[in-house]
Amino acid sequence: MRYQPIIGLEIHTQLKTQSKMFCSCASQYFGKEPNTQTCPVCLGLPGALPSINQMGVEQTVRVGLALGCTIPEESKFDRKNYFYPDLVKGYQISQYDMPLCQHGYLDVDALGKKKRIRILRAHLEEDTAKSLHEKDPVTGESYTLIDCNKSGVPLLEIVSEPDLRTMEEASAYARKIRQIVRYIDASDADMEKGQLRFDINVSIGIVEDDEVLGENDLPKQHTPIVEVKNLNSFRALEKAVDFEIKRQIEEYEQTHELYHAGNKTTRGWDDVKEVTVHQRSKEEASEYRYFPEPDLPPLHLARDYVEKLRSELPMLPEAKAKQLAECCGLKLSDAVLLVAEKEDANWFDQAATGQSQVLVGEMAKWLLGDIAFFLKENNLGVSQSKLTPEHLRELASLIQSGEISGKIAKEILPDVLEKGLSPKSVVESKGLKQVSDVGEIEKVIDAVIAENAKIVAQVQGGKPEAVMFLVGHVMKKTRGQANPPMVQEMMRKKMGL
Amino acid sequence: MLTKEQVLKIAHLARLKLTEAEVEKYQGQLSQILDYVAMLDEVDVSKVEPTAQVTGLTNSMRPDEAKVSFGQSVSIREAAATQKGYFKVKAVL
Ligand SMILES: [Zn+2]
Repeated sequence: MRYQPIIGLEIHTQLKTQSKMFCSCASQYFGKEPNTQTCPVCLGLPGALPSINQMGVEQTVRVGLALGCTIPEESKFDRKNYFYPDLVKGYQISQYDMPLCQHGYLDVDALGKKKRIRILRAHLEEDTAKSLHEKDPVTGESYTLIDCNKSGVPLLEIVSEPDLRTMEEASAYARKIRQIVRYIDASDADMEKGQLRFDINVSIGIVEDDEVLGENDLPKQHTPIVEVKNLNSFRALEKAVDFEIKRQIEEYEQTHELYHAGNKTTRGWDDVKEVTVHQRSKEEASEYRYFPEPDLPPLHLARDYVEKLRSELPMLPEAKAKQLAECCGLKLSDAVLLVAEKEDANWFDQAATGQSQVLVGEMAKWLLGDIAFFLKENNLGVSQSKLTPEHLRELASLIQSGEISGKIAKEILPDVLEKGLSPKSVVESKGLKQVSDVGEIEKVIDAVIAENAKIVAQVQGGKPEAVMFLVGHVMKKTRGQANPPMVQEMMRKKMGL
Repeated sequence: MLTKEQVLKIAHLARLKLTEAEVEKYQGQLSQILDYVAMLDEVDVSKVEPTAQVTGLTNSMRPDEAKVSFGQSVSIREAAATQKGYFKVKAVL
């Protein structure tokens, strides 16, 4: 017998729109005074009539298409009923049995292996209000403050099949979803602003020795499913998955309890103690008393509309990396890094478009090397730094043409990156131009030969490798500015090698 | 007839506290409502397409434009308790 973790992910991401999903209040609420972007609809006042934001539907379909989902022709909204102070209407408008997106997939790389994670569905709903938990310093009374600016912001829920088997797969999947929604501009998915949240479903398969399982097969028996809600960072997601796997194995060894209908539980994540804590027995779907939203007519997604949205999707990171690797002779792993963020990918496009393979290779090498190191130290993306695509191109050309050496390039980088100066101007103002002038180099070579008669004798007396010593002297005399291959070639000629 | 457990479960979902007498009362009343609605079971719907809507409308959508909302003072005016522009409610965990 062995244990096999079974993990499914529900990812909530706020969609990028100007207005809320079912009313015209502004949807950008970050930093706004509480309850200033509210109306009868999103305050849940009786008699208010919701209306569907066309862009919310469009963004949902775009994400669905990017995730390889089918977009059914017919879709509708439903009411999900439950009572909680952050849900002012007493129900959430969501989608139950006819979601906008169904049956997609995402290929993820984890632990050196590629794996296809199936997506069950992605449906459109509305976000809840924001609650702040407070304690009166005088009376010690605990209470909660509610801000409805967030109520009704369009929220997309992407539900995976329970195809994830390790923490690494779960993390890679979540990161890739974030990358894609950001790439297609459907969501900013800013985790610090709470725009992307995860719920995980974890149980442990009890796999018998004679049980043969395919990659996405579920073991015949598994422990009760535990849902951990509202994880809002990748770190929390990873820690919570790890913790639940360990906790459930321990619990199983004590109780030998297996999953059956009705023993699902919900746990919360304690970010400080890094443990999950029991919350309440999970409400079963039937307890939410879903029913069709009577105030919203159904949606009919015309095929030509869906195909138009598909054709307008930007290239996704995976395809983009492949294209970059092929066109510019880069390693695929390097290309993947260069296009990880959409802004950085566009930035690199600007620098690389129309340039020779050699030059693009040189740019990539610096961008992934010394420049990446600098950016990481300063916690910046290249598109937010002072480096411009033109300056990177200039730097690469200076190196390629032999005007500066790699060593000089490193020397001028701080000025280029921190002050936003052009590499050419820094080279000129510091007098660092590489010397490629034959006459000038010859003068120095002659001087070095005259000063090192002993070594010259050695070279000519059967120790040709000592020539490098002479080359070194030339480089030193020119403060590293002589063109190294030229110096070597000329020195060898002089020595008759 | 609904059992006591079923009534208590519904009460829990509605966050209502019922007395013993009320549970018994609702056992009867809720069962009557269900029986009344169950009369619809007698209608032959084998040739009727299921629908959730009778308006005949589809794709009734509005453009994505943000409009000025209520101000804060109006939003929270009718609330039982407020603090610093927020609605104030009992502690939730
Ligand atoms: Zn509103």
